[in-house]
Parts: sequence; structure tokens; C-alpha cells
Amino acid sequence: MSGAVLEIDAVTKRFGGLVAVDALTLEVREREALGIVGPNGAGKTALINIISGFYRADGGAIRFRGHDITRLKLHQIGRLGIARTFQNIRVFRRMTVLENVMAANPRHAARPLRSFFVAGAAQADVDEAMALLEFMGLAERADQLAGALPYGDARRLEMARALAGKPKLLLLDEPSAGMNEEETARLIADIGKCRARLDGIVLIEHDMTMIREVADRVVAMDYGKKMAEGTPEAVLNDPHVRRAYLGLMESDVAAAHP
Amino acid sequence: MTAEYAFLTGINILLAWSVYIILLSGTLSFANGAFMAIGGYVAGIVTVKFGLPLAAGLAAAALAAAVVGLLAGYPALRTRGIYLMLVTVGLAFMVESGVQNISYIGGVKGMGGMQGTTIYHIYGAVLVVGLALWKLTRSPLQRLLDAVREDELVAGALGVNVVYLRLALFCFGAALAAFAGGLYSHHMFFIAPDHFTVIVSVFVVLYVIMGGVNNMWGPVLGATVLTLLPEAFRVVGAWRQTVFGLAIALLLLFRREGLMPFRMASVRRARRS
Repeated sequence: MSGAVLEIDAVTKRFGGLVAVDALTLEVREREALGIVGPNGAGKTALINIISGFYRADGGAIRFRGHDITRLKLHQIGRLGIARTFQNIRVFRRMTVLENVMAANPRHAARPLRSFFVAGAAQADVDEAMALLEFMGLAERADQLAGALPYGDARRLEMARALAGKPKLLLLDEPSAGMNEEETARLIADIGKCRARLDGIVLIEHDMTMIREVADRVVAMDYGKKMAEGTPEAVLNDPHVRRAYLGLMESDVAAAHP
Repeated sequence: MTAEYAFLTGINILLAWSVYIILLSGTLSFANGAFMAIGGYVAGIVTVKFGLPLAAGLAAAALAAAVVGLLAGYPALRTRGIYLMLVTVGLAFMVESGVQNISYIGGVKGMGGMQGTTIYHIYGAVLVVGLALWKLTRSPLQRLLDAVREDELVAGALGVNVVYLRLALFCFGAALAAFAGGLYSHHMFFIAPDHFTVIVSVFVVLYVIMGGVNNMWGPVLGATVLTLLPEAFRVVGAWRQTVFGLAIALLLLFRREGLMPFRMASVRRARRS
């Protein structure tokens, strides 16, 4: 399995009697954007929560660049280079946009007490954070409170903050949720720009346009299991996937051919 | 009388900051009266029973409270929110009844013989701690703490070891409260368990909440106002405590965020030419 950034090996997660992720096996290959689709409750977000350390797997193993990270803590996984965004955007709302990015500076986040002795606005740190904000088109809003940002900008800030830790793998949990077509188009462009900085991306999405444009490969999930895997076209046309997604696919078809 | 109030205000500013330091990582501590008691007694034992200088007593006080903070904090800080707060309340009760039952330090009768603190010691300590907190507001640590307070899971995902950071700040706060307790006992010449009841812990938390929890000046203002306010109400005689309680209730009703609620951004965008 050389060349895999992330290997998920028979991972299981239960909540009481509910099996959210059921012996799931998949891999994220070198420089790949892996799309994950599936109906609500299929276990997609649970999977991202397990990879990033928010949940601990009940069974199976997760390897990141060869390290077994199955039992590592949240902050240890973060330091190894796995970053994420959230379906319901979670920026630090009471802090400014620039502070949000600077708080993710890995030099200080990994050694918080030592950072007491460092200047809080060291020019190198500010420049680094401002460069990221410029990259994501947020430089003009640097001094605004993150809580006051419009939706699309808050999403971009979350991505900028995730990139500030110089991660190798980025997990995006339904980034286009709540966005209109125009905003989604910009998001696709933004993710495209980020790819050069990353070894791999995991993208959970319901928006099929986004999946087709961004994902190199797609895994479809249902009831915590893998339903199909392959190229976006193959998976999205798979009869099992179409049946699981039936309502959505029919309305898509109706919208496309009125 | 004025000198006495200046002294009490200084002690209460240090205590308020000790709660503020712990609150920086999102933990509300009701145990700081207990840490103050530990400090008062430990410093007293070192100077009175062993005849060592006050500096040694204060150092021992801070160290002892930090160790107690570490032992109590390690299991407690793994719990969250209201449970953690209840653990600190439990600690306050434990220490309160503990000191009543140790005859070596006088039990309920208390312990005397400490001396040597001047008003300059108190305000010297206020100045040093104030400068350290000022330095903190201009360091990356302040931003990390603000992030932890706002969303500890996200801060964790960014690589911050939240449990370790909380434990460290809990110990720092405990040490500062004990230091203040040591200064207090050596100013009063005499201490007894009823100087450090749980209500003392509650009052110190009130200083911080009333002053404002988002900047280092809120606790200073809260401690000063609440130390001097009962004196201003002396005219109402026996109703003093009632009027005092009413003032607190009204203030929290109309300024829920405290007297000084603002938070200062730790960094501004560099204006490039």
C-alpha cells in the first residue's frame, strides 16, 4: 500500500446500538482528492471525526503516512498534519480574522507555555498569517471579528486556519452546505488553489457538481459501509448509489430536463 | 482604617487575578479561598515554626498550593464544564474542614505569630503579577487561551494540548492565591479557619465576574469596587449586607458581562506601505 497518505483499515464506530461506521476500509492516495458521498446518517461525518481524533474508533486501524494514529489524541493528530473544517462552520467568532489564523500557528500551538515569552505580534508570524489571508482573499478583512464575516468568507477563514498548521491532509466536511451556485463555484476554485499545498484531501459533499469537479475518486457510503468506489462518474451512476440517493437524483434529473 | 482597606484591596486584586488566570483556560475555580488558606498556613508554619524568612514562607506556600492544584486538577480537569466547577467547590470544603482538624496549626482556634508584611510587599506583588499579565496579553499564549475558551475541541485539533494547558494554569492560579494567602497571614499576625470559608472563594469569583472576564483590568476593578463598596454602605447600618447583595444582583442584571467587558485584539494587521 505504498503511496497512500491515509489508510483506513476495517474501522468501526458504535454509538450504543447504532453502528455509525461499520468495518470500513479505504485509502487516500498520494495527491488525491477523495470524495465521500452518501445519504444523511451514512456515517460520513463520523468518519471524519474518527480520522481527526474527535472520536476514537472501536475497532480497526488508521494509518497516516505509515504512523498508526488510531489511539492518538486530538492534538497529537493535529500536530502530525491532519487538519479539518466543519459542516457547521466553527471559527473563533470573538477573535479577529488575523487572530484566527495566528492561533493556528503550529510553533506556538505545540508549545503554548513557551509562547508566553514570545512577542505576540512578531513580524514573521504576522507576515505568514497575512500571506495565507491574501491567498484566500481575506486580507482586507484581517482586523474584523470572525463572527461578523459573511458565510462564504467564514468558510474561507476556516480553510485558511486549517492551512496555517501546514497540514498534509485536509478533511472538508460538506464545505458547500448552505452555499448558492456562485459561492460554490468560488469554493471549487479555492479548493483547487489549496491542493498544491496538500498531499491529500477528503471531501464530504452532497453537491454532485462539486464532487465531479474536485474529486479524483469517490467512495459512496450507506449505513456505515462502503457501497461503491471508483471514478466520480462510475460511482454516481452506480445503481445502488442511485437508489440510496433516489430522491435527490430524481430531483436532479427533473431540474436538468424540465 | 484607610491603610487597612488599601491592604485588603491589594490582597483581593491578587486573589481576583488568581481566579482570572485559571479562567483564561475556561475553568471557573471556586477553590481559590482554599488555596489562599493553604498559602496562609504553609507560609505561617515556615516562618513561625521553623523561623525561616518570609520569602521562604511565600515560596513554600506557592509551591504547596501548586502541588495540591496538580493532584486535584489532574483527575478533575479531565471532566468538563459544571462538573469541574463542582470539583473545585468540593476542594474548597475539604480544605476548610481540613484546617479545622489539624491541631499542629491550632485547629479552630487558629494560629498566630506571623509578621513582617508591609503594604509595599502587597503592591510590589500586584505590580509584578500585573506586568506578567500585561506581557501575556501581548503573547501568542493569550490567543491560544482565547481559542481554547471559545472552542476547546477546535483548539485541540489545531495541536493545542488543552488538558495540559488547563492543568498548568490551574497550578499557576493556585500558586498565586497561596502567595496572596501568605501575605495575608503575615499582615494579619493571626489566621483561623473561618478566614478562609467557602464564601471567600465565592467572593473572589464575584470580583472577576463583576469586573469582567475578558481582560486583565476587569478583575482589578471588580476587586476594588467590591472591597470598598461595603464601606460605602456603612450608613445603612444593619442592612449593609442586604444592600451589598442587592447591588451585586442589580449590576449582574444590567451589565451581565461585567463592568469592563471588552476584549482587546492581540494583534493588528501590519499596515504595509
